[in-house]
Amino acid sequence: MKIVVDPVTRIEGHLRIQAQVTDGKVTEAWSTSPMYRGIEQVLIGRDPRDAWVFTQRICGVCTTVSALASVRAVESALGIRIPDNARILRNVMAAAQHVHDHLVHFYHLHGPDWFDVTGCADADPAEAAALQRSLSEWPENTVEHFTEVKKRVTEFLGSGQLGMFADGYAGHPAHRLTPHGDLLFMDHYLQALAWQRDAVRIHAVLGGKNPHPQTYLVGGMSTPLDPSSPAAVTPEVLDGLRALTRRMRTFVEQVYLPDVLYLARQYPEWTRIGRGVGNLMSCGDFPQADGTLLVPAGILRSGGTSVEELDEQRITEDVSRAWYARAEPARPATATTVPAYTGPTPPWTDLDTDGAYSWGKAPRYGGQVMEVGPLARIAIARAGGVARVVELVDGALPSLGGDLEALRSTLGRMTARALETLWFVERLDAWLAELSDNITSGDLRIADPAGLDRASWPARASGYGLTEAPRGALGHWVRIADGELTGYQIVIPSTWNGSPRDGQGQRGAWEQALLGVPVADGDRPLEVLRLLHSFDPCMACAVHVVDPEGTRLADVTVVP
Amino acid sequence: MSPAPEPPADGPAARRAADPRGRTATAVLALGNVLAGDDGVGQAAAAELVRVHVLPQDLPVLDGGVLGLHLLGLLHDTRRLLVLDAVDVGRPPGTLVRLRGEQVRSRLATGLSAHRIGFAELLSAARLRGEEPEHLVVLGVQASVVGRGTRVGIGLSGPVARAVPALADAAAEELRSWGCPVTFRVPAGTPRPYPEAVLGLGDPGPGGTALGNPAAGAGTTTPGTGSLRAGHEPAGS
Repeated sequence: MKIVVDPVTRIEGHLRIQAQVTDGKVTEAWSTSPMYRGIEQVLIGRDPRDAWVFTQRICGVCTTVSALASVRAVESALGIRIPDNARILRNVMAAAQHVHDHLVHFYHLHGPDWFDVTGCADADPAEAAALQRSLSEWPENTVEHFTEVKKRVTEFLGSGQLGMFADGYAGHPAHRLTPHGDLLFMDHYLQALAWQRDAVRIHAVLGGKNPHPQTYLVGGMSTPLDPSSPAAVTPEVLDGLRALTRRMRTFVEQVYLPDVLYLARQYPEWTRIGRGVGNLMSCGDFPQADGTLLVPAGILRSGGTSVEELDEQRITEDVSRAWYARAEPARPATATTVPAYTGPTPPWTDLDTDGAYSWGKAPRYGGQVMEVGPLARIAIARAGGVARVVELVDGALPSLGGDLEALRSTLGRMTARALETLWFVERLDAWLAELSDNITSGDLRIADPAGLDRASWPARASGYGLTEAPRGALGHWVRIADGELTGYQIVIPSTWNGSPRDGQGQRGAWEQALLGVPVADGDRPLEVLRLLHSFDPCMACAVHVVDPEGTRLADVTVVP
Repeated sequence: MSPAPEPPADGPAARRAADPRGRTATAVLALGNVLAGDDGVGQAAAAELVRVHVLPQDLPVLDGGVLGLHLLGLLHDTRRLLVLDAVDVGRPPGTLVRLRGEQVRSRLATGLSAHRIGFAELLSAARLRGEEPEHLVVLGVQASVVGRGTRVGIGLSGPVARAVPALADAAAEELRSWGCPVTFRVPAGTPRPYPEAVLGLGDPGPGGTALGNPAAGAGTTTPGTGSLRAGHEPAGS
């Protein structure tokens, strides 16, 4: 039986997974990005100082990090250093994006894979309240509260507008929570909607506006800092944001993390399913005052216990199985993007996977497949002995069955995501305090204008900017000549994780992680979605189920 | 948790005065990816709306990009929402479309929104929380080129660019019907050329053609003629 999941996320973008199922398990998988992005071409000939404005529009989710990688790349090419306040502001903006994005991903995109909204109709509010009290100190734990939530959800179900729950998987046998467990998750789903509305305020205040922040700048930031101006960011404004981050943190601590660990205890087999390639890569991020990175960079190989140093020069892109002009694997610094489409004429339903089958290139590190994302960051920080991460991971391990290797699993990825959310939301408060101290002591510098004078630039320059986006390592590589962009290459996290095979025939990270995933019901491959969503793919979806002869058995629309 | 000071509001307080629940009375929201050809028509129309019409100072005209749940705060704060968007309803490119109320939900649920931002999910999330706008109207233009294949770039195709003034005027008329004082900056009846940006249609070259805003050819409409019939019928023009 062949299953095609096309696209995979519930919201935003495009992605297609084709999987071969034999005896109830996935035995082969192909990951296809069916949409050409081509943003690099849009940037050629433009002023490098403007590039970030365009790159933050690439993705429907990651606006800030795509701007960040761009300004870093241009700064690296032109040798521009940013002031301390810009460093802190950038950390706050990026970390706030991680925290917001991870929590929304869990409750609103991935959560419905694990809880069944229709179960709420049979839930006992008293049992839900007791479950909440057993999980944490979170105060919304009364029978009255859950009675009210049950009423609201039941009305919603009665309206027939299932919206994002209308994915065909309600009542799936792989759903194993009790009805009061379903009600608890539905309650948190609703609370998280309100929570995320608060969380985006950080970007509105420091980014000038949300959703597309306006305050990035090659050379720093343009967020005005001034203790005496009501129109600027003052210590009082920062106090307000600090209070906001403390409320965000309480929700992460008392709701999000306990919920993920509860799922791990309810679905223990998923702490073993979906191990994947095992090789992990982080480019590191969040520069601190002392010059070190909060999230360490490095490579942690499958079976290895020590972290290798990351060498940017070993990153290459392989286009052997992608729809680009044939070329040897090349470093992004010198690579070009020349489309050479050989796939079927759209709209197509079936794809020949023997040749090229994706618009996604295959990034490799020293020729090896790497997984990027929260699991990589947390495992590398844990192996590197980062004290707070050791503490966080060790606290979570009992729920994962006790051993560190369980991190490399579907629920391990979800746990790593929740743990780093807590880690980052704690740092938000600390960074905002640092910024406040700088302002109070009279340091209001936010940008270095020296590098902005085009006349002072070298005739030719090149550089790269790396950042850890919520979904993993993100890199922009730029070439500049006579003040204009002559080359721009972007390698996004979902290109690493969702890569097709390479010239050596090595499967990409998703393709490997899918092998062995059980599929109980080919018409409703919920298990495939559980695994893929654990990577948080940045792209969207319909599910086609096909038998070995290619006969279509069923079509299930996952996304409207 | 101890009570903590609220962070500063992210918009003028005046906006929030009209409604007992403290919601913004009215907002205009452009959706779409400006890097994906005709998907940027919502933003182009929003810019045209602001350029040609005098709007109330407290009326927010927002660029929502292709963000999904990030926009939930806006829905929460908004009583009447006007969405400008590229649509795909199988009509000739450039056709104006108006959807309201349940039509929005049912049409969106069948993949109407070309960029799949998950506006349908956004609406159902708002409904679940009891925070849906009371009035919701989507004004759209049938897209022609939405970053498919390798034809990616900035700029609208000809038929869609020519529809921008009409879409902006239709938005103005919709706002007037909601009681918003919206007037033309130019005298009614003045012909209004609109710069036409054309994508490299049929050009399979690398990355397609990205043109900024060349004034190659000009669509022309006359103020006051951008009216739409109810439902998602094509407008007569």
